[in-house]
Amino acid sequence: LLSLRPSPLNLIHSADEEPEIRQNPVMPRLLGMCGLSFSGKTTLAKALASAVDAEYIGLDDINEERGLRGGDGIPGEEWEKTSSIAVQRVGLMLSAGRDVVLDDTWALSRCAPSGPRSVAPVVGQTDNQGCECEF
Amino acid sequence: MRILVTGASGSGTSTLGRALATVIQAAFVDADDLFWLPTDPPFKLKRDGTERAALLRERLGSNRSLVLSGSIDGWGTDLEDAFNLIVFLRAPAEVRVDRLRTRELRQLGRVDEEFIAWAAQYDVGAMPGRSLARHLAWLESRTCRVLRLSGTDSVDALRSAVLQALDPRPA
Repeated sequence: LLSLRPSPLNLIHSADEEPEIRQNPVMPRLLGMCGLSFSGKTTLAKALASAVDAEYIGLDDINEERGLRGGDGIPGEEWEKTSSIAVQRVGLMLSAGRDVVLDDTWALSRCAPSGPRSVAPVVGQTDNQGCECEF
Repeated sequence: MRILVTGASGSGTSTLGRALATVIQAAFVDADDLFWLPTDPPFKLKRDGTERAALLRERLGSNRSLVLSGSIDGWGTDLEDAFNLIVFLRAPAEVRVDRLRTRELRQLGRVDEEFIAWAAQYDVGAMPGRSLARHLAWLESRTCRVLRLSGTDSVDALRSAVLQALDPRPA
């Protein structure tokens, strides 16, 4: 079950809210981060992953593995490649029954429709519900 | 997240700073409120440099997200490089002077001509304090990204431009 309630401009607040209760305890969870640069996505994502014993998958880490630096302005096609690597890894982890915290970099218009919601059908583990973005 | 909105007096740093702080739910601090001691009438007595730096350090420490408007050139490099993004606003002197006169009348009931004269010569830099040349040199030595915008644009447009710059995956 993908259960996201990302609110890019209220990210800190999302930490105070109870996460959506998983409806099927057997099915692994995918939690996705969403928010502006410097809003604390990575800090919260790592804390979440550690707290709920989930795998942390970060787009910045994948960019770094690929020798891409965010500060230099990463071209769209490179982002697409990084995203597809992330989606693959998410799929693998969910298939293995592991919960995942996906530290992606959606913000503003990218939160929907090509943001977290788009990952849901791709990884084939979710019902594509529950992603609500507020601006 | 820490954002500094800087520029000449009247370029709109406080207006944009407040708008940004509201939308990203951050604390807002105007450097003038740290630079000047609270007197009546205001803007007469400067706060000690060490004290104003300590005040800003304290505000940065106690707020996870903070938007600061104004100029902090010379306040200490730990403070000057404490930001994730610097927004630099520029506006023509005549626009700034008009705004400042309106603000002075509204806030103080009179216009401090000495202040207006000081603010008007910012682009030339004939007097001590803030000037374009000093600001540009200061921006050059910063470590974070600097976003340069026109202070004559609407607050809505400026706010959108800053949010766009903070979009981690640009279009």
